[in-house]
Amino acid sequence: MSAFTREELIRLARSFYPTGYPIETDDDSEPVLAYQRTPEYARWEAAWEAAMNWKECDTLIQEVMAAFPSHHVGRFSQPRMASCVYSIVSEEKPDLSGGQRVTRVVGALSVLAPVYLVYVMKELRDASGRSSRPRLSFTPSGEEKLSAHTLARLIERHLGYRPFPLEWADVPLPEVRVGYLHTKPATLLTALFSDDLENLP
Amino acid sequence: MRWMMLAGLLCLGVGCVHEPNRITGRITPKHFEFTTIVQPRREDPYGWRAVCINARITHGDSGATDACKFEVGLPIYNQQQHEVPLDVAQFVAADVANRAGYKVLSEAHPGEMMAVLCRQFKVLYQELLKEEVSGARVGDCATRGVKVVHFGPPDGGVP
Repeated sequence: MSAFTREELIRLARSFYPTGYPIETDDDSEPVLAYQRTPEYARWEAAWEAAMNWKECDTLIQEVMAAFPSHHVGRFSQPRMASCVYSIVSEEKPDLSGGQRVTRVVGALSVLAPVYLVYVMKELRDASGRSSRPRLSFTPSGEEKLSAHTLARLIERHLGYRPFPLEWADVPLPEVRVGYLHTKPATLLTALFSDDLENLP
Repeated sequence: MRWMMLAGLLCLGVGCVHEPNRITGRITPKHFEFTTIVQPRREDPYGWRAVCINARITHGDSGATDACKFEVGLPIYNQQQHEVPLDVAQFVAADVANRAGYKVLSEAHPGEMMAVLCRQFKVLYQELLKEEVSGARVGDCATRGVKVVHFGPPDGGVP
């Protein structure tokens, strides 16, 4: 269970994003957009600033590397274009088609609240390097189940994070302005993490 | 150089038909003066580079200009291409920006607000760009220290 109630997470998310400021009112001729001049935005910016120098997360990545010595492990950040960083455990295996089957166990770590998500992405990369559309699952099975469990325990131990309850993913945050959301609605998932969890390098 | 939009409004005796607007001008790879935001290292093997583009779009009919500012971010390494060299990142970012910009501006209706067109552009640009470089994002200019590059006349005057 999350350490937060649903209402606490909503309140927390709202503290980082101003209400109002619809995109239609943006004036790009201004040096800084109106929503970026709010106290909520200043908190969001400060959270990212801290995330860019996150020593505990460095330690986590090193521990994940130690736990998965035969995998490719690393952190991926899309600074200020999402609200999470990713701890990625990646493995490639040859496929009978001549390509590679790529399996990634991913821990998405919110930079706004001590909550995380673990999911698995699978894709097939052909011999030319082109990948199929990744299949994302929040309920890993088979050998990925153990990897996901290991990653989750490391995140909890080193960051003190708790799992984000997926049943709250679509809880709406009406009229909240999340800078990186262009058309998708602001929800607890999109505001605390990202609108595109599949878009990994 | 700038994106210039000529309204495609064809008026006959029975009324006006909206044809695709004619778009001229191209953003070039040189505009994409990326700043490295996340230096690739052991814990961060993918890295990140970004640039803020302040584009001015000129309406050819009236000469009026509008601004559309956007930040483009790309990983420096990914599993698709391994390394994404700077010149490749610049070329792809420019090529895809032109494709997305032309599509959105050519289909724009007369009087459409630039804020709406700019949002449509960012959505399409991101969708197309991540197909070329997985992990790429397009958003509002938000990252401190990222270079702001002007595409088109910065004050609406002659470039």
